[in-house]
Amino acid sequence: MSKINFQIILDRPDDRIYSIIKQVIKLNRDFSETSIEYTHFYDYPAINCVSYVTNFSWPIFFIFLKRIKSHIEEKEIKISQIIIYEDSEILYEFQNILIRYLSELHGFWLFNIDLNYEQISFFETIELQRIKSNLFYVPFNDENDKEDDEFEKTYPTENFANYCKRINGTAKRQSVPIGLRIMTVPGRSLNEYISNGYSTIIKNQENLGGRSVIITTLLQMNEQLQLVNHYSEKLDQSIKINLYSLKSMNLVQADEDDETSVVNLVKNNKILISNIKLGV
Amino acid sequence: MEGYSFNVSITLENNTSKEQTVSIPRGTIIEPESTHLSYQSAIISRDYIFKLNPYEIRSVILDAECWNRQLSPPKQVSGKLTTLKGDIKKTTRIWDTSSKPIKGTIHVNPSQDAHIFSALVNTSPDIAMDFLKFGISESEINESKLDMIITEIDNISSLKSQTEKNKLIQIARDESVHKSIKARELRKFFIKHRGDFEQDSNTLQKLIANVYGLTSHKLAQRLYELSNEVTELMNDRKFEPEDNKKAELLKIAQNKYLTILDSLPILDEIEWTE
Repeated sequence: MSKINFQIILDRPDDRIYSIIKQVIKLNRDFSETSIEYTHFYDYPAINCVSYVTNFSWPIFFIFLKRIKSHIEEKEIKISQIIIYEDSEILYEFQNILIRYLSELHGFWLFNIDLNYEQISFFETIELQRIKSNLFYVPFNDENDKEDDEFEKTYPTENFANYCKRINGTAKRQSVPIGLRIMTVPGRSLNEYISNGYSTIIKNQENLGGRSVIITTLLQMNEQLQLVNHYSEKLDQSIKINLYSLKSMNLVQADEDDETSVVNLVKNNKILISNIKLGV
Repeated sequence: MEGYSFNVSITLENNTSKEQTVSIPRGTIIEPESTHLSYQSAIISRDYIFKLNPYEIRSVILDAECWNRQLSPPKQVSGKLTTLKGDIKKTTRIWDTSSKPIKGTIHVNPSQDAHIFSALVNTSPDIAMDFLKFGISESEINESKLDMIITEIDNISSLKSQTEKNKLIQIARDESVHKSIKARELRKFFIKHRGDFEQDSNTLQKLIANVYGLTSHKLAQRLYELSNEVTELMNDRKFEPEDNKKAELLKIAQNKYLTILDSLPILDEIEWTE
């Protein structure tokens, strides 16, 4: 069984850290034998952990550390460093020296650790750098960890229309809050996507609309309202857009069972409407 | 009040020989004609009820607010009644409602595999990875194959990108793995290895929403409705001042959560899970 020590250095103390780390440990059975205690590294609040692992592997360990980091940072608590070390006495002996480096760089530090160079390819992927003979550094690289929101090239076909029908629901079946990540195809207009994607809502009823409000709401939620000027043009370039369902756009369809609703009365031709003016 | 207010006029004509009650509820949206897309749509700001005599024609003026903050305020712009209402039942903050997608919106790629595991990878990738490991450890896969699969999983360094998530889904598609990651195994996983009610019910809520959204299947619909009820109860609990009432709401929510968990295997009956 391998023993591995690591210390998480924080910008401020927080009582929630213990339970947050405990929760992550629960999700990672490889590290179920991990003790946690509050401590200090130099003048900074820190959490010291000791893990006993049956089949230790650096890739899995780094995933475990990154999970702890992301769970803690979700609570808006900043982690400045994570130090992985072998012997606590030697770590404290070198605190004064280490702090100089720690103030300049933020990441994972491997201090006095006997690295297994058979896993060199893994260490290369995480950009391990040697700072001193017994001190290695891996930057947090949070920018590279950012969610890669890949939008998929999608044609406004019948399949696409059927897919959108399901997520948008009907007056009787509720819509689900889903956003479809699509990239439009050059040579197609936004209007084609809207017409296909929301066909059940934008019906061809002379007196009832919906297309304009869907287009403008969609564009404003995608922060691309400027496209309202070009919505019917066949665009030269692809656009990345989240096609939000009605529920996502905070829109609902009129209740079909309400007999007094003006919408239903118009559909049934019991009421005629005309001369609608906005801004009177 | 937030928002820009203006009036909308509309002429109503009773086309029948009987008196008609006409309601125009708060939230009804009236949009500009498509030739005037750069103008704001109007959201009716209060409930209106009219009684029209047989064949009566009447013009009415309705109070409204603008739905689109950054478009031009309309002045005598021709409009159209829509079948849509803005969801402003519990808010007066119109612009907040119309400018951001609702909290809890799940983003999906059109090519997402409609299997329960793919939905879990999409909504809670870390938990999906743990579930996969759990599933294969409980399966009858031979040891060398098991080691190979675990190594493949461990080589995925992060689940933030769609590419990495797709790798996990690809591993799960392996014939020897696939039967270990059905809804009934997911239920076992939650019972054995999870224990934080709020987090777990939130995970299941997102998963079920993803599944129901993609399939619109009746079996998933009931679970979706139940999971929404749990969310509502927990929200009500946050604002409840009395401790005993708080405890009551929690108990009801937990019971509903247990019902969802017990019923999760139902999702295996939906054809697409095979």
